Amino acid sequence: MGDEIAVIRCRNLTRKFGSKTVLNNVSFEVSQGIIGLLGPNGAGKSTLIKLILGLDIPTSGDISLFGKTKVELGKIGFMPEAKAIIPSMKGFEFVAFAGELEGLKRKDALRRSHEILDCLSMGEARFRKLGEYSTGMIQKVKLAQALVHDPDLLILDEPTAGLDPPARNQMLDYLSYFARQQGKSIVLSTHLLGDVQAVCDQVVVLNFGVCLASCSLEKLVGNKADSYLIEVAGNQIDAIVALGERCVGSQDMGGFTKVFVQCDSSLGINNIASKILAAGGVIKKFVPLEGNLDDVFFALLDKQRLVAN
Amino acid sequence: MSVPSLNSFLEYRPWRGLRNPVWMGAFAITRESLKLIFTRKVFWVVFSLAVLNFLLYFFGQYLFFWVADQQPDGLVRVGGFGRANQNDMLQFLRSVLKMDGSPETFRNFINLQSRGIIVLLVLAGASLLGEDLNQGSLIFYQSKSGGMSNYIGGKFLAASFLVHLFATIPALFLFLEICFIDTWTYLLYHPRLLLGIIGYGFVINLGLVSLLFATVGFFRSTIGLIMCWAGVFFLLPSLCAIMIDRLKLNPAFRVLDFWYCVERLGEKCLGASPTLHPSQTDHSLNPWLAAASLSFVFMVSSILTIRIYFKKGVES
Amino acid sequence: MMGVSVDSAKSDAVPLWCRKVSKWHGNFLGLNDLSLELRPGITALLGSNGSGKSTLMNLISGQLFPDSGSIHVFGIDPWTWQGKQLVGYSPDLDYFYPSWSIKDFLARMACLAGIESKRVPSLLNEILSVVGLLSVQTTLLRRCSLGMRQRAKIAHAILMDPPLLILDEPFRGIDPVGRRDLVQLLLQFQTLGKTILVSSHELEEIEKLTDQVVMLRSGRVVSAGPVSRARDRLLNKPVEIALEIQANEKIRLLAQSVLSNSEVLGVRLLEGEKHVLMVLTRKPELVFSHLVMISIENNFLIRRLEVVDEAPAEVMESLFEG
Repeated sequence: MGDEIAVIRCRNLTRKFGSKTVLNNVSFEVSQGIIGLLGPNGAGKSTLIKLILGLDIPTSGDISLFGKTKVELGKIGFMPEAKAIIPSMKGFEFVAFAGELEGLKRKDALRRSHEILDCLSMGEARFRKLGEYSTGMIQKVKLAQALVHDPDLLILDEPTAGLDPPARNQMLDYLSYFARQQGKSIVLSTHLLGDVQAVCDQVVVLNFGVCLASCSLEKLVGNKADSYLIEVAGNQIDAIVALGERCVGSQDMGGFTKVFVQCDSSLGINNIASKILAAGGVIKKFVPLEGNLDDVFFALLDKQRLVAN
Repeated sequence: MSVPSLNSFLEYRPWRGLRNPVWMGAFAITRESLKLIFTRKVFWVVFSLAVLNFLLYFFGQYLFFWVADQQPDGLVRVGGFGRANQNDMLQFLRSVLKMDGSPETFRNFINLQSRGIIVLLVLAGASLLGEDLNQGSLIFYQSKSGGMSNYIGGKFLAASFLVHLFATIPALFLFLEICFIDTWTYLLYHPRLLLGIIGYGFVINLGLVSLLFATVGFFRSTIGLIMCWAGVFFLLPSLCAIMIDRLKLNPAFRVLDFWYCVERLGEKCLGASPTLHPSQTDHSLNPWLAAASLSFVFMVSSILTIRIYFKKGVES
Repeated sequence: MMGVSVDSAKSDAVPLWCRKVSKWHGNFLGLNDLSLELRPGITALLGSNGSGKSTLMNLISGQLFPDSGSIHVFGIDPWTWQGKQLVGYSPDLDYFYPSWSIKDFLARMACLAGIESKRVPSLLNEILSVVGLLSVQTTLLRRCSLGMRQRAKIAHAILMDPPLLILDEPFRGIDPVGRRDLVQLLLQFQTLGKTILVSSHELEEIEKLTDQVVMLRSGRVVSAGPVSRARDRLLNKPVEIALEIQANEKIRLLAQSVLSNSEVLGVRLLEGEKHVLMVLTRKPELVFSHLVMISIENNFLIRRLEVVDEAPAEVMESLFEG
């Protein structure tokens, strides 16, 4: 990943509106993959997106896509957060229309429109008017209109907002398909941290116009390789006693106990497991303690607040 | 992460084909906006009224030339109703209805048709432009290659097409009709008229469409648009009438009346004589003042349009 | 007239008690013979769009009248004014006057609710500090973020200090910070002994709030109670255990020995991965120890061992789909 050209590179990007600084000296670099753009309201996400799209000009600093400072036409597909549809148009017409706006010939646009809607498993619904669509279908059409001219970079603003779980999973599946198998780069701006944890490779965290983090998801979330969570049932007390000081914490959940275990080498884990079994405990679950994006995200925000005070 | 459960074997296919120049997108916008208008009932109501008006003038012309060609025995058969005096009829058609192929014919015709355009633009203008602003669809157009200039261009073309569909094109048809039923010398004698029709069409086009862009940008809803245009097309004329006829102020105050300026300019394009009430003396506005007033409106509207549609910055 | 139900003695203590409730929207059956009883605490109301969630919430908050059946909130029909006092409702959409400030909005709602005007300022202060809007109370509603609006709606819902709160999609569109605050607020209400019925599509948040869920589909309750019970009842299929070991070429040997356990129905390897073994069984509790034992005996280093679809969010997801 690292040796490729950066898909987006921002250097000291600043955008001011009057006296209000919306983006303050933001620098980051991301490569191909799904990039999660995170931040609470007023963090400057939408301004950053506009800058990437070339709809706005930075007060200072510069931004380059695929190594070029000038935004190349037709390289970017954008899926807005707002409804942004024309209710009287039919699904496939709307997608073709978007294609024509990107310079596709009418016939090509219609063909692409049908191809992509097939790909997103939109069946006969494409022949209905957009005004009759459900939220899930509207989101699909919006994704399709961003894809119709085959851009290399997709910018998606809240693609999963308002979707019920199956539709949301489907949308995330599509995103990872387009990123992993079709080599597209996707900027995913969302409030749902779960989405980011599920599909993103890289994360950019903004707050109050400042870039708090920009790195791979793994690096941000981290993997505490030496801590484990074990759920023990059966003879719980004996099991905990048997663990001795390996057990760094426990929580009685009624019926079973959550035991937090620290061990230095992976060889030790099997030791621990056998100790629990020997003491008459039953292991219900045995997972390495992964960092949680939620925790990391809020820790970042808290840290910024502390520094500011 | 689950494996993408993509439907079917229809894999996504990359596409690298030839592209049209970016500005061609404007025509797609024009086409789709016109489709939108054509699906509205109000369009067909106004359109059928306009067609009726056109037919009135079409057959009125025909009648005029037919009556003029009759044996000069003084009487013309009018269906089963008996006979009418030929001279009376000619007089009636010429001076009251003004259906004699004179510049006044075309002025009256285009003035009437443009009433229809105003009604149409007021009632359908919001769906032509306003809904994009309301629903936040602008970002959809902004993010495309052509950007806002394509959008403005496409929508301008669509609105202009409507104007010409109602006014210029039928007026040209009338002109052609007269060429056929009179003689082609009509064309030779009235080349100014042909240019005048086209000129008047473009005056209406620029005036109304720029006004539409600016007012829709401000009011966004049909109701707001109706209020605003009612002000421009009813309140301003009455205001000018009070100022000039009652308060006896300088007739140049008519520059305030936007629609009067458009009509005055059209009159000048066609070379028609001004309409006057019998009691009135000729207080017609200097056409240059009318043109100045119109260009002022056009400039202000353009600035507003650019400010509304090309606004950069944070939303809400 | 307050509805005197046959078993009112019983339903007096129950925060919410519905029996055989049906509601038609024209020809469309919104709720179909629905019976439900809520316990104090937070309960999540789940279901896809059009499953009747909002209809149920409107019925409970007394805005709709059931076509048949009866609903009791602490023994009182919510259609009556006595009943309405017991229910706080926060709708899914914003029905605000956008030019009012948060404080104006709440003050006017308090007047409408019949609270003495003397008491209003102190009450507002109290409520605004509970929902954390005290410092921004003069912000106009149209300038508020979604999170602030949700909290304003919740503040409105708790004006009368009702024991039952009905929250329709409170998490929709809120940013992560607002989300976290809202979760904490609801948990705080729970400790105050309120009963809360909350609907949401965002299962991660529900998972943080509660494991009591009511699942609706086509206007009927398909399951009510803890998530795990819902799973057992609705997904009558064996569970899958993921056993992750340190990458090892001999994983197939491990798979063979796992299969020797009679409770194991099947074993599969993930494509292209040499360190994850998926074990299918109906009795995970019996298989777990066996798996650990086998791994230890054969010197495989365990990295992870868990039932894959056990997390509440995952169970709920599969219920949505299944």
